[in-house]
Amino acid sequence: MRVVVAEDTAILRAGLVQLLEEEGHEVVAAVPDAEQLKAAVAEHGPDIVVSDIRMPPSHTDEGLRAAIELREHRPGLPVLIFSQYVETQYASRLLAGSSAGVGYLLKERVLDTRDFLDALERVAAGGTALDPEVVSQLVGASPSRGSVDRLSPREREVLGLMAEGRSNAAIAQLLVVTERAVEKHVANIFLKLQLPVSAADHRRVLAVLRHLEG
Amino acid sequence: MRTIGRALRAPFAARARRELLYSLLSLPLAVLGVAADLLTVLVGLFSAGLLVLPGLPLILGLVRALGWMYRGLARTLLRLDIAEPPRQPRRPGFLGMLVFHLADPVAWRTAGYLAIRFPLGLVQFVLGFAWWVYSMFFLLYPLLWRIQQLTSHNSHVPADSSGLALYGYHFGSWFDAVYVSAFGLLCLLVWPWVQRAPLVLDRWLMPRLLGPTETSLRLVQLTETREHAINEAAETLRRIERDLHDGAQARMIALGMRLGRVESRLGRGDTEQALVLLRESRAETKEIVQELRELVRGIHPPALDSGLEPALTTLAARSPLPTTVRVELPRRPPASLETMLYFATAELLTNAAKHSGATSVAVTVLAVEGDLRLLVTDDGRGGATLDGAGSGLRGLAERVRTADGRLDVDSPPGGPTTVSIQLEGR
Repeated sequence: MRVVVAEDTAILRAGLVQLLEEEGHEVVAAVPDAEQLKAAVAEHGPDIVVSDIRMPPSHTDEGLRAAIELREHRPGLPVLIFSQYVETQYASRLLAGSSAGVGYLLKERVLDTRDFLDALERVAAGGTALDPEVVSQLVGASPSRGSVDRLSPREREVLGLMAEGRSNAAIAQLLVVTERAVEKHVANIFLKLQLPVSAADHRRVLAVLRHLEG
Repeated sequence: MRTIGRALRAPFAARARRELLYSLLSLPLAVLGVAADLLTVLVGLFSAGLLVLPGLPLILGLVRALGWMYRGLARTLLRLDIAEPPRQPRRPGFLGMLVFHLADPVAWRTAGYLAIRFPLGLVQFVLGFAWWVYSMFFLLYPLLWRIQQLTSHNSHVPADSSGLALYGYHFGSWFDAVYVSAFGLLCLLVWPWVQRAPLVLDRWLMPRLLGPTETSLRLVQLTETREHAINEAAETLRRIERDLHDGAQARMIALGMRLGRVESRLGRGDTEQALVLLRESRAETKEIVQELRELVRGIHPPALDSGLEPALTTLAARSPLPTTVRVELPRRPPASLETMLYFATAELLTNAAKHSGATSVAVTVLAVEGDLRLLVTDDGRGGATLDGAGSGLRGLAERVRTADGRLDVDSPPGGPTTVSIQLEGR
């Protein structure tokens, strides 16, 4: 895949580039701020953007704003956003448009190389990747927590993995159960939360998130 | 000789003229003041029936306005600067409005001043303005007498009954006229001092009743310094957060990524490359520890736990300039003051190294009459000021003020520079 990386800390930028290249991806540009990120995307038209949230000049949410802006001009441009903090507000803003091809991960997820590349590919393919931390905070802060409490522990686990953007097959593998069992859990969840059933993974994420946001 | 000369010119000095105007204004102002006071009392009494309660704030507003006018007069005519007393914060709601106006100590103290001012103002008017008018009248008496004589030439007034009559005696001759004139001159010469007599009391009263009280000044200072301390603390936390976020935290992630690469190399059986990456990782760990140590020192220097002297000595050893440290204290000061002195010294040493061009610095901490005093002296080029751009002394002075301390800079051009900080030793 052709990747544009935006990260202001030089040491992390270099690390990301090395990791991606060793895994066989092509980093077409690695830039330190949001302005250069926009320029790089315009120039290279990458398959996916990997960007930090906090970048110069104000060190607040430049990366996030740039990502949202980029997706307005290029709908469906896959964007994987990194942050050292979990901010449910960031996730909500990022998912406000469409959750197709959107990822929001904590920086330390990079350390689980397999997981990170998984997320990267999922987002590039138009799926969703949300950090488990983000999901658990969304669940925790959800106004419709009451309905989530009605779920069994296993169903809550499945709900979390669904919100992270994983497919039934991936969930089955992670929980070491059959795909059939996962499908049953999912159906139960949708029934208990009164959600419209949706086949596509990213639509499913969106439905779950909308529900959690109340 | 010069004193006498000055005393003789006093009636014609600008100061006497300004005070004369003040004496003249004293009469209407005294009347206005007592009227405002009487109104306050009357409305206050009626307000017991709560009917005219809202009128009271209005009248107290008038009282405050008079206080404001007196402060203006004192500044322009008496050259007496009285600061505007600060107002208390206003609480919301109708009741808050009432309390804001009715329980305003400034208005009530002003009302007190106006009460005293009534007799005092009358005395001021008589001794200042009336005395001057009479002095002038006596002084110019020969002239006036002559004019009267000329204008009444054809009248039937007998010559000996013309002129001023006092206690049945007529000053009707030229000799009398000159005599009165001499008396007028005498009156005019002593007039400035007569006029100043009631002013002595006034000058004593005004700052006490119209100015801010010590408590209210203290309140203002505490509010200011507290705000500063809060901002400072927030700023410090933000800086630490930034340092951690961009520093140790980022490096730890980079280290983790490198270890991930080691893992995948080992998986592929590429031990040589893995070894190189491992070595890099170990070096990186060492740097992270160093960075964290620096950061910790910036939050609370561990050396401070064993006292100010070892902490300052450590600090001096790390300074790029040769620095001597002398600490002479009978007992350990409170931890908060030690910390403040430590960071002040750190900042001053950095300043000296950066800006002064000095070759050596001396740090001294002494106890002076129960207070703590820190002196940092360098032999540099001097010229440091509290307002100097980028000197950072301003911020330090503000911080010292939050602990009721004072920072002074003595830095003549060419040096040496001594910055002293005095803190109340509790």
